Amino acid sequence: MTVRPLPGRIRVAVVAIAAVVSGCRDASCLRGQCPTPCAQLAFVCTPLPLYVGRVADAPFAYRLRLADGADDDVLLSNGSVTAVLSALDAPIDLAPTGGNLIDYGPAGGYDDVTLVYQVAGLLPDDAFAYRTLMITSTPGAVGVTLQGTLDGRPEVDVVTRYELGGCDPGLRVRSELFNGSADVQAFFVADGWHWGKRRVVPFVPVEGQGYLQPELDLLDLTAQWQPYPLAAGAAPNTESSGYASIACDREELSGINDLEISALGTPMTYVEPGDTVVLERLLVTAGGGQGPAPAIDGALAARSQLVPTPTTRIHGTIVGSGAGSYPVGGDVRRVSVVIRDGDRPLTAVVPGNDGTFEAVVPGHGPFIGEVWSFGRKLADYPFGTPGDPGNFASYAVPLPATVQLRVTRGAEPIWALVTFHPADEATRASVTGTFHGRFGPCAPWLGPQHGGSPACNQVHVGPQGAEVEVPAGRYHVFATAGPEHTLAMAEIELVDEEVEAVAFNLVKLDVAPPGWLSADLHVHGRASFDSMIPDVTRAQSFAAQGVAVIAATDHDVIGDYSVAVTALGLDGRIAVMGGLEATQVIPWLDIPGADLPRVIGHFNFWPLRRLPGAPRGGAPSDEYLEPGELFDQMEPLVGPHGLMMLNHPWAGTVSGRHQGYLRAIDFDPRLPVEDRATNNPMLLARPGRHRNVDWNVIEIINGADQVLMQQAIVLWRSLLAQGFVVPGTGNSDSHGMTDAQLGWSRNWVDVRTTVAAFDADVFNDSIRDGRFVAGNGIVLTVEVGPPAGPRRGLGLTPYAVGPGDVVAITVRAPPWVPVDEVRIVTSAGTRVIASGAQLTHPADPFGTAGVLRYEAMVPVRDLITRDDFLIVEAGLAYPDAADLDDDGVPDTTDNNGDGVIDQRDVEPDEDSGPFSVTPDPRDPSDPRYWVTRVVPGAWPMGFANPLILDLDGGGWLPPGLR
Amino acid sequence: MASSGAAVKHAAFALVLLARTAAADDELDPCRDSILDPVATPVRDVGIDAQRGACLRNEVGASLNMTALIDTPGFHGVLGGELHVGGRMRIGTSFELDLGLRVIRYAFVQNAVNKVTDVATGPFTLGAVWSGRLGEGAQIALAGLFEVPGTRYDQETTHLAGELTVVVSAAMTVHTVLHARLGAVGASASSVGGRTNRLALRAGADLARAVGPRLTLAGGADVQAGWYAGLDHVNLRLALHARLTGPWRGQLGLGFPIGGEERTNAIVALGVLRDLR
Repeated sequence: MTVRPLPGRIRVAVVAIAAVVSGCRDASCLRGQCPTPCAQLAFVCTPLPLYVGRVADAPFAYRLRLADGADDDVLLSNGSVTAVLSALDAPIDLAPTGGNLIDYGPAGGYDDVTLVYQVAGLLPDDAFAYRTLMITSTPGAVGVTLQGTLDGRPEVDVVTRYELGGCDPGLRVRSELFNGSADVQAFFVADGWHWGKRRVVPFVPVEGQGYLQPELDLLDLTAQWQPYPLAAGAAPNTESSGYASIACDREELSGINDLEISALGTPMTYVEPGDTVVLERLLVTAGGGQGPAPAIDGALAARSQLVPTPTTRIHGTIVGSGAGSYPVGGDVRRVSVVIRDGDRPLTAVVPGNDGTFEAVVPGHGPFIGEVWSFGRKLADYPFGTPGDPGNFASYAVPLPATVQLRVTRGAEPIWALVTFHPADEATRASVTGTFHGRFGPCAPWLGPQHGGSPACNQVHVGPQGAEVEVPAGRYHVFATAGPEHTLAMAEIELVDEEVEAVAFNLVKLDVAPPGWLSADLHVHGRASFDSMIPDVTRAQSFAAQGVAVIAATDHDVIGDYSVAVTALGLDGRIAVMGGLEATQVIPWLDIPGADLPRVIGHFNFWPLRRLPGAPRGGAPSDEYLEPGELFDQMEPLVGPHGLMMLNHPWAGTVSGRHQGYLRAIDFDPRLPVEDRATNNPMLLARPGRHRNVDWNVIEIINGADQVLMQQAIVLWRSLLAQGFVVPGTGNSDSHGMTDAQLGWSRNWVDVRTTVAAFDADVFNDSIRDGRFVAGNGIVLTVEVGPPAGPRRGLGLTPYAVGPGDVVAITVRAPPWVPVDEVRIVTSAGTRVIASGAQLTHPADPFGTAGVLRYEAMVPVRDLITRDDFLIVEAGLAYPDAADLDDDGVPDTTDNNGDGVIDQRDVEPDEDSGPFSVTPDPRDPSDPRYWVTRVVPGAWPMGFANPLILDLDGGGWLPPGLR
Repeated sequence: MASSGAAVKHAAFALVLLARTAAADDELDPCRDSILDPVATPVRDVGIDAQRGACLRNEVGASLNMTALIDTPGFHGVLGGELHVGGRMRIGTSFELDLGLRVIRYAFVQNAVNKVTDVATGPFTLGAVWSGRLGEGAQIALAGLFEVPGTRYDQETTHLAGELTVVVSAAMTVHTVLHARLGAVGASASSVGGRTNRLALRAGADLARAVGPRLTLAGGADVQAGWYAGLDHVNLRLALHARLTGPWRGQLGLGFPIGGEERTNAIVALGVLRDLR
């Protein structure tokens, strides 16, 4: 057959029509022809071998420290930069699937990334969900291409290509989104950087911002979605990697920045059916403890290839202002410099140990250097010369004093926590600081609040002592080793550059009965996405607070701190059970009456064994599960003695995610669980083998303040009265040294053993049976039986009350923890049985006398009139609170101080709340003054787990709601 | 229940026959006055599914179409407004050529907390119609309309859309015209990331009743299926069509898509047209 060519004019027309109809298209990853992202960028170096493949097979030198990557995740490295992408079946954190960036940093350096994932909006439906992962390797580059759809919109195709060339200072990334649906959409394509609010601090070179971005308001996201020439960030510690990202296919990235999350990508875009949105960017990582500057340097160098921009190299030195002009640097505590152009922060850098620093900034100035030291901005320092606009020259900062701390118990040096407080207002004014305005103030600011010791105004002291740099001033210095020791105080006056030695001696107090082990069953560390505390500091806090047993309960990761505990020589003194806090983060649960889908809140599980090399340390994925399904999944892992705890059941929301299950389902404690006019029956639903109510322990105290207990006790009382009998715990939920003090609160568990002989099964059986008390500094013992004995101790097995039986109560606390009243809680409510002069009030908070505050035997029949549960509480009287939204749980305190709780106490645009934490007193005569010197926010309280009292001897029947 | 439905159907037939019998002596021409033509309340982009009658016209006009989609449970909302201009020109006795331009389109889209507004122009649409008599008092037409590719302001996505519809307009009485249609609409859009194709079948009918020499009231419904791979919608339609002065006409149309997958809640169309010789 002969094919005759079409006449010329027709041929042109056909080609033109075909081009219009099919589109003259660029290469597209979605169409299988993925171009190199940021192809305009070229970098020169002597390249090292490239690697792409399993994490487990990667060269050790290419791996990252503190990384989350599992053996089967995919590691890309060029020897300079290392990235880890989660395996497809191993989703992490907010991402619905794997295929996302979970570790990132300079090769061999530190990873501070929780997750970088792609999103088209804030709804879970709009997250990129990848279904295929393809690895490519060429002599010049390695890459991974991930393809899928938006998680809840299967007609919207997405793809992301990661590529790393031999000399690239960062990952080249291209994402595409194709709207194959019939709907017009408002989308962006962006990287969601989940920082976790306590680790990496974003920095953006935008007027008036730098480290301080506007508070994120999710409901006003569009208004906050703004352009950035680049965005950067770094965690404030001595090892952290810096991160920066720039757009390659446009001049600026658009998005938002917040301590919790940054989203950086395209502008909000009107996306019609058939439209494609493409984003190319370069994610730079560099440095180790110098702040974001090294990454900003790299980003600016790359950006100047795309958008020619003049830059200036800033160079300078920080020295001490004393006689020797010592260089000052090496730690963000000592000095941190922000370079500004007018009101526009350009970069932030931490000078090295020799006091010198370099950083690149856009423009030619004139520039201003903000010099920060110990949390205070010392100066706005104009610098530069006409011939050398980047010449910072040198700047002198005051050198701090050095305090040498030592804490002993008798002759034995011990672990302890030391806190510094200004002794006068002049000192307070001169030493109050923040991390560049972030994380709230501390006085003095000795280090970033969420990092290692020293943090804020707190220092861990080990048996070998500790040395800490403190700005000059007059201080009260306190030492504590937990509630089973005395409190010690010293007053010191510090002068610049001088060395001051301070020694404390603490005395052990008989606060807890012999053989009872103190335990904190809700503890976070660096493995949690919202924690920055190093594992070693975390383990130090166990010892410094005198806690014997720890359940390691990181968010969605099984950990056990075993390496840190061993490194500190604490084996045999502290028992750590591996565990997990299952933390749903993807809203999905439809609750009747709620506008938005919710998550089920948080649940702790222990003991669990960490599986090194497995995703999440072996923790199963917990998204899209009801509690009953979660229990089905976890019960075989924790074993027959294991525990499944409902955490902070009435905690509020974080970024729209409920943290407490009972609040998530709008449980009404005033009405029966079976009441079908409410959501209460959701507790009885059985999505699997377990019901949603089948946790075997509930957290009643969370942290040192009373807020969550004041709410949780209402819920617990309701459930106990209806026959859902599980014990309650008190835990710290500590994520660092200062957000919540480890061990405050804690549990004292009746196991009649020592840590050296610790048996997790025996211990957990005691928990499960309610043979323990909980509190922050207050220890109760409660027994029931004849006045002359023998009497039975705590336990959930019903007790048949005999004639004349009494409840024997003792309340103990260290002299620095106030106890004002003793209360009884039954189904009938709460009743104060002793207060004021009926209790002992020690005169000397630093002494050893007066530990026993209350001792009494109360006839059982004076306390209950039918089968009931009985909880004994002690502590300070609760602050007044009211239930303004009429859901059965107190929600609002007297926030305007007018003595009445009403709508005038409620924040604008809210129905109720806040339930405020009472501020720490400044007056030493306030009962809370001494305890809040070492435990900020503390509201002393404690409770004993319920006695289940069978009054008529006919078997215990739940008393029901009254 | 079934018997009462049949009774209603028989009554409707009887009514139509009676009406036509009563009007038999008068001239039954569905095309006698353009105010008896349907008022378009399109659901699809660019009005590719705009309703029309079987009569050929010489006219120019402008219309403002507004749509609202408020899907609270689905966290999706679209408010749109479009200004169209266009004209229809008879060619001979049996053909008509149509030309349209979307002068400007404003849209506000909200997807949960993402909000975006967009203003754009284009595209052109071209249409062609053949029409002929279908017995006494009725006209039949085969109408096609398509979007001219490459005539949108946004050139990154190529759009091609069109419709082909058989329309019958029948004078039920001197003052009442029934417009019925059956056809298909399709659209294809492609960009660097892919292509999406949509095709739907639709059927519909309107009854237009002149209530005086200058005003027509109309009501009807369109049913469409296939765009979303199922029933798309039943678009309930109401319209006023008025002779303003001389050759000038004004239109108000309301559409309410119900049922099916379509999430657009309402369409409002305002038009001004001028009859040409």
